[in-house]
Amino acid sequence: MLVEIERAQKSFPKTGIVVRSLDLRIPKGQFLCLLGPSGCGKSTLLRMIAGLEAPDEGSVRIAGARVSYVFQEPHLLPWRTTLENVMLPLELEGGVSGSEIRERARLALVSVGLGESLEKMPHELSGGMKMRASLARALVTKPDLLLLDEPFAALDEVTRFHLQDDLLSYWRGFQMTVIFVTHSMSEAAYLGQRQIVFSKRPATVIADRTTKLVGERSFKQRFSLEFAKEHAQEVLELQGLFRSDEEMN
Amino acid sequence: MNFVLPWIPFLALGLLIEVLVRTGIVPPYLLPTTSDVLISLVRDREELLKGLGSTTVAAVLGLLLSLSLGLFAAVVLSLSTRLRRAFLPYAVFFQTVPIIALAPVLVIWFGFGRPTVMASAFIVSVFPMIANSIAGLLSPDPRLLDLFRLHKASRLQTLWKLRLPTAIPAIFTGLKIAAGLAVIGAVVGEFVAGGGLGEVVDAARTQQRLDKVFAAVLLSSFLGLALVGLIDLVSKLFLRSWMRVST
Repeated sequence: MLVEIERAQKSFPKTGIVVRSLDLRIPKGQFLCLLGPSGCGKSTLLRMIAGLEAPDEGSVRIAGARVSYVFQEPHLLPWRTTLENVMLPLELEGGVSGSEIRERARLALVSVGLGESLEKMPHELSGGMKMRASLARALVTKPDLLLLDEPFAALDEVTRFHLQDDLLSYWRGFQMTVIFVTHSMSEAAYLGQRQIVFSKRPATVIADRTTKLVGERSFKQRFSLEFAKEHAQEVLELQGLFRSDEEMN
Repeated sequence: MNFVLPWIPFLALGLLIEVLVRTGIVPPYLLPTTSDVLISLVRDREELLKGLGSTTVAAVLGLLLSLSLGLFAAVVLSLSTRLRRAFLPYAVFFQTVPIIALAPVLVIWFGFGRPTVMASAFIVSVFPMIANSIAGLLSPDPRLLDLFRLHKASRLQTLWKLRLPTAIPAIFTGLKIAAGLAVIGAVVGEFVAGGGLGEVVDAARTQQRLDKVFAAVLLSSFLGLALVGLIDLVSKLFLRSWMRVST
């Protein structure tokens, strides 16, 4: 197991308990979607996995993995070029020569389709390009575990579709584990091999399911009738899980 | 047009004072006519320009001291909440101290002349430098601080690569506020320690030369405005080239 969470609990003074006694095991190489209503505690769980928040009770263990994080907003440093922004994690972690840092950052940007924008400043990039740069900054360290917190929520639909497909190809290419937080059932159904559905705050697991959606995802396939039907079926199942949880409460 | 607009109220006020004094509504021992002030600016130009030069040097040196020591203090205080709680109230002392009361003590410490004037300019101008710099250093986006933590950045790396760059606009704002105050501090210091426009004002006051007093006051105001304008220009040029924003 790459990530093992045992009876993890987290509360904040203003909001009370956000995550309640949560158990979760995530094997290496999985693409996992954490799905739940806004403010239910998904992001807190992701921050605990990243080591940015410590659980009040229980434990979160990661088996020696290199972790990268993509935020909801790209959060690029406005005084650095796109290339310099992507160089940042390697500069901070050290142990790599300046020329290697530059080359690895360049390759990461080329791999996300920003090879022509290396010297552009963040304010010169579109929303989608900024998010690609943010993805490149996360990928440049060659992470074993990539954590994404609703990264495509603020993007237009077409850009979001392209980035979802690109993310899937990076996941395969980099052979990493991905934990993707979203409140979109459609996105979770499309991306995740496994979907964990959370209740309203405090986050408890309503369902832990494996997708029935088979085959390669691509922009073209997304709009094929057969795939669209299967995808819609997945979304309906996820919707059913939420509805039954609401009826129970 | 933008350059002309601020001069309109200035010229109107000058004209109004001229009329009020010439018609006897305001007695000349309370307010000199605008024309008398202008005549003094020409007639006493040698003394006034010498004073202006001396005040400029002292104010700029005091301001540079505020920039360096204020920024250093802000960096140290930004490192820890406990440090801020312990020492920030003492930084407020610089803002609240009545400099005119402290100036004689500065003369005892530093003697007559420039060191006292510089110290006076420094004391009056350092607080906005500290306060603005701390605010800037503590203002990075929490997500970026998370990113630095995630990649195990040291405190020095976080300071150099995130906190200081984020703080630059706030540091310039502090410097602009401090520039005006440094001129005030220098002139007040000169009342007691001698030299510069402060000494000109003090000497002209005892000679009942109100025209010369106002000429010196006018020059010190222009000095403050010029310093603020210069820093504003430098900050705009710097930030534009740094962020590579085209005009």
